[in-house]
Amino acid sequence: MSDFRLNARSAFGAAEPRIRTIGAYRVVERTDLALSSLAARVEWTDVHNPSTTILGCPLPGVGGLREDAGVTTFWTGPDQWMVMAPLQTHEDLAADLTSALGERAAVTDQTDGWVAFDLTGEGLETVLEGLTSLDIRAMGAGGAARTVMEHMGCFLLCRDPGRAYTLLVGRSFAVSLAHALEMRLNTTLALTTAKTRSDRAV
Amino acid sequence: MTRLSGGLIDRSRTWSFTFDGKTYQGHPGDTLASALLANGVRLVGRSFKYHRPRGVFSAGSEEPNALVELRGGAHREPNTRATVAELFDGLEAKSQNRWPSLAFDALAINDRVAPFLTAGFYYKTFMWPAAFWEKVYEPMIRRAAGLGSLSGLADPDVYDKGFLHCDLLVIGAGPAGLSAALTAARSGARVVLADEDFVLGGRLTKDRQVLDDAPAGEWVSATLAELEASDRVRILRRTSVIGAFDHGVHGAVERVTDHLATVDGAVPRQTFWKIYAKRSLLCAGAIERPMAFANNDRPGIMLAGAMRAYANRWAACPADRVAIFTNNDDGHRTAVDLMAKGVAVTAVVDVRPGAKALGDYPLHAGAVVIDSRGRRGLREARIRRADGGTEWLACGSLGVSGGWNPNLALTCHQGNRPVWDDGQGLFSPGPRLPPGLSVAGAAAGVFSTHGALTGGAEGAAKALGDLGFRAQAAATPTAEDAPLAITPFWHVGGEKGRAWVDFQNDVTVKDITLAHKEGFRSVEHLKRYTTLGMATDQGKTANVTGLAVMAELTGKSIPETGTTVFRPPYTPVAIGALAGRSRGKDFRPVRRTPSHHWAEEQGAAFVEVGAWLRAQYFPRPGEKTWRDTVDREVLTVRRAVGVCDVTTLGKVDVQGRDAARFLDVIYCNGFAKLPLGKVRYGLMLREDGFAMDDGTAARLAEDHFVVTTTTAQAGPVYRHMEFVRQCLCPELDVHLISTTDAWAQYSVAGPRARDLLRKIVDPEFDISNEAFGYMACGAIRICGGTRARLFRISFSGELAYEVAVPTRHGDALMRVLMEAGAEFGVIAYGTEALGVLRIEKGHAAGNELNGQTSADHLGMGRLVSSKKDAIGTVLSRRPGLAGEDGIRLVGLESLDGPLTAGSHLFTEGDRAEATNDQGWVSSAAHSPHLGKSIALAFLKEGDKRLGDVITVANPLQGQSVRAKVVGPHFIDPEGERLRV
Repeated sequence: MSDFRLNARSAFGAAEPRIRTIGAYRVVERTDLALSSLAARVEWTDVHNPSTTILGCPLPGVGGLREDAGVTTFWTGPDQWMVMAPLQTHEDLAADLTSALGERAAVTDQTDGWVAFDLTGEGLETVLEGLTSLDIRAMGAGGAARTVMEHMGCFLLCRDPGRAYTLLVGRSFAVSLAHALEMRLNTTLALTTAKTRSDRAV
Repeated sequence: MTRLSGGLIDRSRTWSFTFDGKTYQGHPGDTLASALLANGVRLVGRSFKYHRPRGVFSAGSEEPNALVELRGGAHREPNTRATVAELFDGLEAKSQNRWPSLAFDALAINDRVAPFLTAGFYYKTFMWPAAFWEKVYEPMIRRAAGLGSLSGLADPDVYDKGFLHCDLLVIGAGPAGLSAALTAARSGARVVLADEDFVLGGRLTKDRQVLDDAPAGEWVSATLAELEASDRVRILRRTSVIGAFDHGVHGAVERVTDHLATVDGAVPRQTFWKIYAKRSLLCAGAIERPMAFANNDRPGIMLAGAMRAYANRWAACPADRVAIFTNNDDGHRTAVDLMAKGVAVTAVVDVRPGAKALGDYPLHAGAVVIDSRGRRGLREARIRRADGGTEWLACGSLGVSGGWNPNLALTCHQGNRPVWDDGQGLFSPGPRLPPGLSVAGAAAGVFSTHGALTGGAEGAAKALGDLGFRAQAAATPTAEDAPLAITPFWHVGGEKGRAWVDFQNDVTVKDITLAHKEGFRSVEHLKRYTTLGMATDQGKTANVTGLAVMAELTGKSIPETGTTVFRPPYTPVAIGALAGRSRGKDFRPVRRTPSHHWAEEQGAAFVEVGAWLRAQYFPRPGEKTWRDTVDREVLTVRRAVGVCDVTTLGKVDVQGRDAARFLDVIYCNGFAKLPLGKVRYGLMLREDGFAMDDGTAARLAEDHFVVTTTTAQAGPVYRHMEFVRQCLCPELDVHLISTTDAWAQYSVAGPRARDLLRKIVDPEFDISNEAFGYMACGAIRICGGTRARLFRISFSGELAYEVAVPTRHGDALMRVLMEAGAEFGVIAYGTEALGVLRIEKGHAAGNELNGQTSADHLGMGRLVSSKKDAIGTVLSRRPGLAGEDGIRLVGLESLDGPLTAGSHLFTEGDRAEATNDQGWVSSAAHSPHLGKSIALAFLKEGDKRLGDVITVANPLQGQSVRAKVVGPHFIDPEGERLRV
């Protein structure tokens, strides 16, 4: 047995997840999630059967997100999904899925491919409309979409419209995305204050 | 002149502002222009070419004259239209294009020599000597002519951008726009209502109008209150929609804080919105057009509708006594409104012989204004009466109304051309409108308030009906519905003196006449020869008149003469607004490697590779140049062991029953028979047979490969693979996903690489040469159970591995490798050393795979399998690409000075010129191993010229070096070091 051990680090190189509070907005890095991609192979004939579940969670349709049994699944493309589960219980989520699905699915570990941020607050549409061309106000709870924010490919998951979203971006982009997001949050906050002032002015 | 009564200004508060250093007072609700007029300031600028005194001409964004510089220092913004600059307390404005002062401008001498400065004068005057044009004449002309000047400093303001979506975008919040928005809001549609003004209502705020027997303002307020109460309506004030682009995308600039004296640093000055509208309704109104007469550019001469707007909305008038020059009834309305405000109307001069007065003022029917005088502002206007007699009328301001041009700029942004409406004498929107866009109100050539209100409501109902909304046109209040009464009239001919058509670019009727005389009669030629319509106002008040004058000269009708088109942006946009937040370091995102923090701690120098920031080299104390560092890193790898972060190489997971068949399609060499647990080098060709990218594919299972790509091509190759999967081979069961970010991957290279890895690989995994030979791969565990992948591949030519762990362990793995390797003298090496190592080994990289080279050129012709078909195979064999006489990758060893990448190769004794070109140097380096300058190069028939001496020339920098042609593998050509 090797004498050396490898400690995990956050996408920001820290021991603890990054948490930022800006006004009433909150951005929390999720280092406690395991992530795996799932693509149906030809063998998986009943993949669209409504009773099909992954670790107890159903698979959503186009642009959808499902949460059940502590597991989140979201649609990423035709017959493709991403599965999120607690890292604590699914350290090797991909292996768990492979053993459950066998040759029915192409499964790839994506835990470290992405960094996930939980974004919470009020009126987050105003924040996000500065970052994504998605029709954010038309996105309901349970919506999932691929988008680009400041040239970075992201997934945006809507948990509670205007109040709670999860944002995923390629892990190597973590610092840049956090910067863009926090800059936008600061701008939105400042705009709200300035608007009040300007309304008073005229 | 003091303030008139009424107006939409807040007299309870008084603000101070300065113009050219002098302090004046204004009120909230004022624009800079209205405040200046209210203070009796008529002279506000100097013209572009002749430095003629100029004053406020309009009351909107079409303003050609009243351009000023606002704000100071790096914040300075030139060419701001005073007519749309909202006043705030402490505003500082400066006039432009004058020296030493606005009142006395030395360059007004230009006006005296005007006969020499006609259209195209510089094409004729400054012909000789030719060399003087660029160095002397052009700079001189540019200095003498012009508008405001830039600060020359970086724009310190913050700009933002954003995206909005709606069912209906209403552009303009006048009567048509408001009634459209009301209709849309009541249908439940999502509405964006944008207007460039800070007070909504359009002409309803500028005319004395009655709606439903009450002042129009009451209806405007009630409408806005209803719109503002709806959470499906977004009202954008101070927002100019500047372009109508494909698929219903509109660009809009919101001036967020331009009207505030001070702002919190985080608040953007302007926001650029991309508005995605399913339908849009253009309710942009109309722009009044002047009629040209001699000396019609004097301060105090302005559009009649603007004069009325200043009186009604801003309670300001440039003078106590005014006159009106008109060809339509609207001009008379100005006279009536001004009189109602107590302004003396000297006369209304109407070109129509049968014109009737609408009020009690002197009317000269069938008369024209033929001249004006007054040194820095209008004092008198000379008219020629219907009876042919002339007289001078005393007036401090003259309102000119030649009719109104529909403001149809946005209808032209996708190639639509306006059509001439002979009945009304105007251009109206052409039939090929941008998809989804319709037009209502004055922009559509409907000029009565009733017409605008109903047109807006019906336009919105129709647009939303198309989308499936049950939209009913909102009931409109009763309003004036006077028919358009106009006799088109463009310019007063037959008099001496210059009559201005384009005020901002100083283009006169004479210039157009000259252009006509000299054969520049097509509208496009006219524009370029005279610069008509090419200033910052884009000829909003000039284009149609210019066209009409040309039509008169050619004897053709206006539609026969041509038409005018508009391109985005509708009004000038600060470059900063277009850039938004993408500036400086925020221009694009940065990708950081797993060892980034560690490398920073080591004081590494970084280099941008695409979006990645990679460690370039790791300097140590005592090393004087980067070369010292790189030489040490290279030699340590060759002698002991080095570690390099290679996470940036693209990694694509390929799975499925047909994964191997898929690889056989994308790579020119075979993969079907690659044994499990083995890696193979692969070369991808483009469809046209040229090399696209190279990398490796590792077989982790029968139906599972990991493909690696070069760092630079990771994105394009992945896109290509998806294209092949989805479009070319949809029948294959194959699934792709990028795992580039998921794995931290380090190259561990050098004779002690295995010794180092043995210390961290968990003991149940045998990595001996026998068990884990060259090109082996497999899933292993390291450091007590951490999942990892090991690949025995080498880019350096040494015994080497690449070890990958889930990225969250990447930082720790780098630290562990350094600690565990200390006893072997381990070092970290960066991209520079990586480059030197691979050049020494003769491995192709991005410089060699530059899109112009084939497998044959790279010396890998035999790699292209003849046993199967793959993308690019057939075309790689086409004549000209596959010939024996083509270029070949060779090595070069310098015989004297250093070799430079990009140099070209010549046979010794030949002149270094294109006809003698024998190839080029693709990569060059100093080889610390060989102690000399070496290079990889493509040389014509290079494989047959080993041992030759050739000339390596870089004529651009005057370099010429002799070099010996050798094989591309400078070290260990047999590859023995890889296999130990």
